[in-house]
Amino acid sequence: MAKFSRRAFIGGSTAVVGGLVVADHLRFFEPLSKLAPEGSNDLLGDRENGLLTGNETVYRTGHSNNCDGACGHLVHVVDGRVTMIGPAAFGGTTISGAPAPTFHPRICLRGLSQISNTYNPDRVKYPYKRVGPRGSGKWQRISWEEATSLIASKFQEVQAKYGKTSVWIAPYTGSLAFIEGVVGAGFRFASVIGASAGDSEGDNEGDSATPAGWNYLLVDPTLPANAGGFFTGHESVDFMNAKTIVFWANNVAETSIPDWRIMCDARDEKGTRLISIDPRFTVTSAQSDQWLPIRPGADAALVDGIINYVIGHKLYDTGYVRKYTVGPYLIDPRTKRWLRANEVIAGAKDDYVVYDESDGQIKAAGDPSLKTPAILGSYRVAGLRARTAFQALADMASKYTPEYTEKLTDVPAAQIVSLAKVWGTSKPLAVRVGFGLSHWYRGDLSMQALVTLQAITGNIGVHGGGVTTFAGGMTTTAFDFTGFWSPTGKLYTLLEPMDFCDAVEHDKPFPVRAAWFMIDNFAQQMSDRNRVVAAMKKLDFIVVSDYVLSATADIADVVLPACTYLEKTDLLSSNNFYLQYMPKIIDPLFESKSDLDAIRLVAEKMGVGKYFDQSPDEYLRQIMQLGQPDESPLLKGLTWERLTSEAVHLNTEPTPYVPFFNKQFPTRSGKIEFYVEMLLPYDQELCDFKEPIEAWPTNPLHKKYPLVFLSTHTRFRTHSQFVNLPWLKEINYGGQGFLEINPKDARPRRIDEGDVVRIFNDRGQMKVRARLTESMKPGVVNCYQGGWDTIRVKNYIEGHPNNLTHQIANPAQSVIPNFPSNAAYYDVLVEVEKA
Amino acid sequence: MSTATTALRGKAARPAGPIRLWYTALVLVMAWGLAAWIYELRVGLAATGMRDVVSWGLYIFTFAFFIGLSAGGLIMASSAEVFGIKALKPLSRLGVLSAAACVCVAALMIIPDLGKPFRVINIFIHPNWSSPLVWDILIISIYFVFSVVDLYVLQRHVKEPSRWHTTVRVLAYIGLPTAILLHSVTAWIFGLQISRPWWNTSLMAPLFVVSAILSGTALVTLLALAAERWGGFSLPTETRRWLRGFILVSLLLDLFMVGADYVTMLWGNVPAAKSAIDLVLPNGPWSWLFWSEWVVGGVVPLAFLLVPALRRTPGSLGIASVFAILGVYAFRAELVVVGFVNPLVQYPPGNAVGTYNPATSSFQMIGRYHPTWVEYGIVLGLTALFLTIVTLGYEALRLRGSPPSGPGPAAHGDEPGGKAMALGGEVV
Amino acid sequence: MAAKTKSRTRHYAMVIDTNRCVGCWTCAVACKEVNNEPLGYWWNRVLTTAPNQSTSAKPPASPNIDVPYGVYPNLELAYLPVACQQCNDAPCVKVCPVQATFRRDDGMVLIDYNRCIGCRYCMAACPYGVRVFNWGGHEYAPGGTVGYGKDYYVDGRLVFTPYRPKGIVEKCTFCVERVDVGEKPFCVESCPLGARVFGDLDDPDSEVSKLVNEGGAEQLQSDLGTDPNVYYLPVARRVPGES
Repeated sequence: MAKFSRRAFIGGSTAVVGGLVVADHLRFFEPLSKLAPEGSNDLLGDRENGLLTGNETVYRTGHSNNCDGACGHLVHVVDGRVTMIGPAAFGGTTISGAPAPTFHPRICLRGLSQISNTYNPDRVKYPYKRVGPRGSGKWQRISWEEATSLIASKFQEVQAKYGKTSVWIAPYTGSLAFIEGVVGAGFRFASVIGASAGDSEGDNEGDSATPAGWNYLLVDPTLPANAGGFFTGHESVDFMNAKTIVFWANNVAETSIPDWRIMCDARDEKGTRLISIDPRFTVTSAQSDQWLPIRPGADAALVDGIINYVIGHKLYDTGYVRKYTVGPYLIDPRTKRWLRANEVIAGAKDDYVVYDESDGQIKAAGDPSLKTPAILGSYRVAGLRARTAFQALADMASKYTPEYTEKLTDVPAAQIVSLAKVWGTSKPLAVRVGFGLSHWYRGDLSMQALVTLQAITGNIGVHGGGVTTFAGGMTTTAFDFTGFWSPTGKLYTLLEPMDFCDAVEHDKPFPVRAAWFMIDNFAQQMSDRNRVVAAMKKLDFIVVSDYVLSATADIADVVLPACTYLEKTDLLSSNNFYLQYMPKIIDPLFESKSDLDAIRLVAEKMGVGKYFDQSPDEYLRQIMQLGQPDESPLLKGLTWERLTSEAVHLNTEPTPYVPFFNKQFPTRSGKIEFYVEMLLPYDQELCDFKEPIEAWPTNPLHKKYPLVFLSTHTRFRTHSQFVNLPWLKEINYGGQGFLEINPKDARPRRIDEGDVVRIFNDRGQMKVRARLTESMKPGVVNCYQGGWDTIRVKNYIEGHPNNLTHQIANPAQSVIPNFPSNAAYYDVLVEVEKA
Repeated sequence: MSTATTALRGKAARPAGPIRLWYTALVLVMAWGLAAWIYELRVGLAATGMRDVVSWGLYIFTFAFFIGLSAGGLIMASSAEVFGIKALKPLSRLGVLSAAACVCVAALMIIPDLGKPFRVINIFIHPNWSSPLVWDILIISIYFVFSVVDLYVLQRHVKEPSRWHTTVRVLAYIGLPTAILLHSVTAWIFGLQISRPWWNTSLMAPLFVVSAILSGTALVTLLALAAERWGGFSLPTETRRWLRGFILVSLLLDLFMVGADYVTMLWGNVPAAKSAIDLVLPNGPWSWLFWSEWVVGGVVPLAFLLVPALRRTPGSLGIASVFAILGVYAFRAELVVVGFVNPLVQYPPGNAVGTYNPATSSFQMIGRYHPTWVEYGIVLGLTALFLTIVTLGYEALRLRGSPPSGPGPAAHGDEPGGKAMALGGEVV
Repeated sequence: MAAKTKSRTRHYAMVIDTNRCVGCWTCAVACKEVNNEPLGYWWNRVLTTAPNQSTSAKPPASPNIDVPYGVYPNLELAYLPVACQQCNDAPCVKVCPVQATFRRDDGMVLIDYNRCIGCRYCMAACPYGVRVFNWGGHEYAPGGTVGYGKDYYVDGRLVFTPYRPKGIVEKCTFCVERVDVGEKPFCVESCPLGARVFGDLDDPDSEVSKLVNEGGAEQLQSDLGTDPNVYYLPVARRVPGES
């Protein structure tokens, strides 16, 4: 143990004699060993040989660790060991062979650090069984055979006792690959054993509000083709086509670093104007031409202010509103629902009703004689005075004068006016929305407002326009995941993460008694953590497969060693429309196994092994159906050889992908429905601003807890990944968490730089050191989320930001079945005091 | 060492106890220094408190300090000839002995500072003549050889004054500029560097010369006083007066120059210079060096040299010398350390230091420096070596009880200083 | 390839566009990877250009990177990546007592690993603080030797070696081993912002030539007369309202 050679390290240096319980001495965490040869101790100055002499092989793979960057990695391997990771080029052509838009090789500090992630002594090396009380951190090393037998028998026991769905499979966001990731094999396993499983869309823990808001206007989830709603956006290179780009609650330059290059290229080569809207002064704000420091949670109000100005000053796109939105359709003033032609016009079919300006007639929307449907005004129809939807929007927005908007948003009226002018005149205008906007109770409303504004200014479905968060929507349309998930024809039962606690504590909608978390740090990253952990501890059985001993693994009954992206075969098709084959580059380290292999072993013991007996390549072929009759037209012509030898652009068009480029919207009306009939029960048919559920000055709770608590992302990690990597820790102050607070808030609380502070509200507390910074808006504090709060590693002095967050979800979102509930991580009030 | 001790014991008709104790102590300290160096060779310079922001430390400023100390003896011996200051002649041999010992120890002080000490030969194989360090090593070598030759000549001169008289004079005329050159070149190691405003002043060379005279004279004074106390050496009153004068004048000049430099930097508002000043004044992290320089090394010795009541106290000259030496040492430390501590590119997070600290950052903007036991050990060991050389040399040259620079070996026993003076005068 | 390189003059230079630098440290981590730098050692680093730092010798109580200057909401934030400036009149070359540090004809300042005596005079002389000494007792990130992994010689002199020899001063080599075979320095290749441009100043059509000669690229501390071959495009933020 004293002296490590590299061999010894790779071979595993934890001394465990077969079957012996050495729980207290077992170490997941070896001391940071000196793996590389040390500089010479030779007094005469001769060098020891530390050269890499073996044969070097270079592989291309994709980086799938959940940051949506989907970088291509060039991985150098010498003697079976990864020695270097660099950026890889993207194939310059689409599947059809057309030239793809320029896409630079990309990588960031996290990708480069994957070597130390893979070879990290912190990795879980062997299967372990809990021997102490849950959460005591006492483990016994067991064999894979024993571990998988235990899992199989426990799952069967729980399923027999509480029903099939009482086992919950949570294959989440640690990876964005196909087989092992948010769309992966865990769902297949859940389907096969009849278990319940978490959301497949990856937007389970705070990332579903903005997709829901986007769906309200652009997608009717009840139409079968939409399968409950989807979410996509403009391909990132399409931002080159924008004249103005607005970053709304989006710190691209820190969290999606390679994407910022495209914005810089647009700025420097095309003169594109960059505007940042954020309560924090971020790197993105610093590099933008304009920054609007907004009150957190007031986003929809700012958009409404702009809508009011745009409509008031006729800066909207009349033709677009008329042609592609429901703007001209008349609304029944009694029911607030659409007027139906068959109810008000004799002999007409069921259709929307419009007023034709050219002849002053009320007509059905589909009437061939219709020339110029009015978009503004109210008209007499069958004894009613009916407004057009656009008029309804104008009326709603009219109260959002610049002054009133300033009161709500804290953005100076002059800046609101200037932004509104830009919006109305500088087109195309693209909005990039961060998931920061989604971490609010009313994130859906903010997104609804943004899409509305983009619609009336004619920025939807055009190059350089749109509202984009994530642009991988084609993945779900091009590939047959449903077939992969349900080989037996029966799909798993969906249980949203937000419903997990209810399922455990109150058996609603059904009891859950066992769970398997795959690369999912649920016990730390889920909001209202205290409640989550309490619920988890009530489970009969918890399995965690991960490559580090996460806070979730801390309370598991069985921990399985998982692989990193370099140790297994998979496919990546994330945010950038490139299909990147991920070959198995090195053999799994220690006793780690890919999740697919782990699932296979468990499945075999549960009698369903036959569904998992194929190789990853074979499953990928099934998902892609290459050359088969069911192959998606998007993939026509793609061969397996080409897929595995270069990064192929998924888009068949030579131009960047733009959703709804043909202006055919998969809504009931076929148009952009900024008047959302299905939200009438929630009084949200228009994007009228509503106050956040908690973090708003008028909330009585604000007196007790006057600070808005954000828990944003840093470039040094992706959620809770990469926390323990020394290269990053060196820059990032050891990975320590800090409370960022404006000196104006710190002074009256007698908080000084570096003081330990207690952050608390009724749900919990945490302790960190204070970092006084002017980048925080007074009244707002921030603590980067994702640091570890495990038994062994504490990046915060006590707790984690999620000890303070809640799980109150906006019921309006339930109209979109795929994005039904959202964790409002930022809609949180706290007080801070010196600890 | 032990043979030398034995030899001495044989020669010296002195009680063996104290001298044995003295040598034992020196050997122990030297052994400690050697052990520290061996440890450092094994571990690397990671064993020191130096890192990438403060990349020179105790070794280098002690090196510069010993170079300065070496000045006194030679300048004094040469001045005695060149300017005909007879009162200084009794100190000639002791002075040159200390000069040779100082410069030898100074040169050795560089060795533990090298990352690859066994490659030091490269300096002679591939010298880069634009490097002040090469010139310094050259001048140090010359100076050392010169001191040894001078010592030899002075020793012969004692026996055969007439035969060696001209040589002594010629050497004196060479010695003075050599000494001044040594200190100037050493000063230019620092003073020529545009990178660090704290160093980049043309005053550096004169300042080094003056502070060298100050510390060197003070050292010779202390050695002479010690020799008088324990070694049967006699220090004439006139010589004391001259020493006092030398120390006083060089101290005033030294403080004047240092002060002039401070004023120049304080007057301007150049950011890099100001940030260095902020480190020492008025209560920056390194202000203790400033106060050591000005109060311990300035006000206190001045008081003992000038204030009549203090001046009359026994040992006032010795006290003033000790404090003056401390002041010069503080000046050297301040020069080197503050030069490094002051950030070069004044933006956070600064430089990586070369040590992994998992709890915080690997970077330092304002440097920090705390010497380790290894550095203290080696420096003390080399200081012990200096004392050993001086003690052995003192005995070997039979300075004991000799009227310094006086007549022959026959002149044993305590002779009044006046007589020694007179004898010296007769020689001239 | 080697013969070709010698047939015409080259003068390598790098231009860093600080308008694009987001302070992400990818270049620094890339440097760390390709050169197998131990923990605590950074040949390349990204400074936050905030003034008014305290002179306290105490370590900062919180990360002092990404600190904007100004008062909310009137703030600015910019970065300055700094590695060896590859000076044409390099103070380090001047002071090196053994000619271990030398300047190649194409502008690269290199260190002969076999000759350096570790006196660190170059570190005292460098105005940019970019030189790094191997103090010994290195700790490495997990994973063993990473990066280029081979020795590299220029004219028989060892100018890169994959492990960090104790007692030697090192620094950014402009990735000489990559540049000599026609690749770009790894920081240039890795920069996710495309903020780094590398090329030949002797080629008037190269992008670096254009940026240096017409694009307003500046040298760091140019008043010192070191004439670096690393240039910076200064931060030029557009004023809101202007197009």
